[in-house]
Amino acid sequence: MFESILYDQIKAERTNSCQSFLKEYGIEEDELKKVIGLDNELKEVLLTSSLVHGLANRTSDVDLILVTSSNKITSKAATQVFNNGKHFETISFLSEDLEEVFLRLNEISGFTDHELLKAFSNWDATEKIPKKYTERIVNGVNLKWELPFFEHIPNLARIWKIHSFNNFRQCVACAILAIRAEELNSAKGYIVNGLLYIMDSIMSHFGFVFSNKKWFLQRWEHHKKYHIDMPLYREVSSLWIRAVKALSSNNNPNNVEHLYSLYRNCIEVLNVAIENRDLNPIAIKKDYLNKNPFIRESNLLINDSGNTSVVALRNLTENEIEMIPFSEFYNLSKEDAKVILCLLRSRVAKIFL
Amino acid sequence: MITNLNTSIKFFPNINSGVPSRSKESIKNLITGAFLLSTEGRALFEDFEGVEISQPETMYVLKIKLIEFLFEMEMILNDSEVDQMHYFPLCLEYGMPDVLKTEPERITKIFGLDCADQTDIEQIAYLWNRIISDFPGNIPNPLQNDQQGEFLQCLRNWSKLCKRNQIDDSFLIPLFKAL
Repeated sequence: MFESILYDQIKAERTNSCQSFLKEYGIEEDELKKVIGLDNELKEVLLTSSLVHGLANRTSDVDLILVTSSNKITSKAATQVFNNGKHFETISFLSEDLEEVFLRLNEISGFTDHELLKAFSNWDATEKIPKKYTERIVNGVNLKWELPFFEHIPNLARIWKIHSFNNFRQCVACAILAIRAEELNSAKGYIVNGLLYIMDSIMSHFGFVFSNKKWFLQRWEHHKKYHIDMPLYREVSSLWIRAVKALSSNNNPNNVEHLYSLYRNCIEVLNVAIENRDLNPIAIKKDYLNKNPFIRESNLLINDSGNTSVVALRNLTENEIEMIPFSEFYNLSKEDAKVILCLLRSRVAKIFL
Repeated sequence: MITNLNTSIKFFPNINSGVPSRSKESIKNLITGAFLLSTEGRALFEDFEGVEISQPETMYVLKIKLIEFLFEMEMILNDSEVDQMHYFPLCLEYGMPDVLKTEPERITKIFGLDCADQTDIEQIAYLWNRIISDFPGNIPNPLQNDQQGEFLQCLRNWSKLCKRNQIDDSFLIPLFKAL
């Protein structure tokens, strides 16, 4: 998946970004050591986040991750440290937890796309290091200007790519449904979000993994130099310009067909495993249907824990809604599209990969 | 770029209306809202302050993130939940009546999304100051060294408030973990 030249460029960019930032703001290694404090069992000090990605500016804090073999870590919350007018944030992780997480990354990245999504969506609840910090560790630069855990980027990048592609796909589906439901403003929102997610997915495909949405667009522009000849890159960039224009006007979003075409192209280029490309069904949890009649033509749908409810707009039957091909969305009536959109928002319905 | 758009907008109209809530959940919701304003909200505004002229793309996405953040506040205040992917679209279509009293159609203009290369922070600073000042009470800033004590005092107040009202304050733990 990765070209070695690109791989080396990523590493060089990361270290240069860190060195430039520390130099510009006069932060010496001694100051970092003072912030970190004494830990004889410290294995690695990693500079992470905006510093590494070349996105730090004058208000950025200096994000540090400490990898230690000391079992004295009592809290996994980040600590704020203020020194010489600068703001540092430190957080410690056990080196054995890192090893466990890297094994898990390796395992999940070998799953089918469907299983991968299922495993990764529960990551923060099941794994010892949250997604955000896992990305920061893998991309982190140590004080010897090395990226000690960068060997795990192919696994992380594959997982990230599929995860973001799935978000993109959900947005495409919701944009089409919103148009059919005559929710034109929400359609514009789904298109903008979908394009940001596909930018993230494409960048991850090439090994550039970012955990913060605020950076997607700026890094996308920055990556022109790598992808300028790639038709998919041009297609996404052109759709983004149109999406932003639509957002600022009263016009209807006119690029939803192009978005669907982009979705089809991305399946090819990003090599996402969807068995039947025209049949990517929406499925409804059957238990929810017709369980709580409300008033005529309406059901009250209540989830397992009983604390969330949604009123469906009309009666639904399992046959009507159980499996709806993506390509059929354009033909849905306004009422049907609205109901499905509501069910997706309330997590009663789900779009599978 | 302070425009006439701003004159009629009101933040947190329901909280400030004096209409009481009948649910104890509203205590948890208010505490969670204040916590998020002082942590995620402050951090987001700090991001805005740091954006340079050479980073118009970041500024644009930050504006979307600010709308998403406020929509999350909306969900918290009215005790609802939806996946983050829907925040921005729902806000554009239906607005966020518990957070901002305005027509949904005006949101893109109010938050400056009608200009892709706009890096002028004046309008965002105005909105942020209004958000902070319209929320009842003084929202602490834990990102400032000299306000750590005030933030801790808030946490103590919230813990006492929960105990007095027989509310389990463990709901604050995931908020801390997410920081």
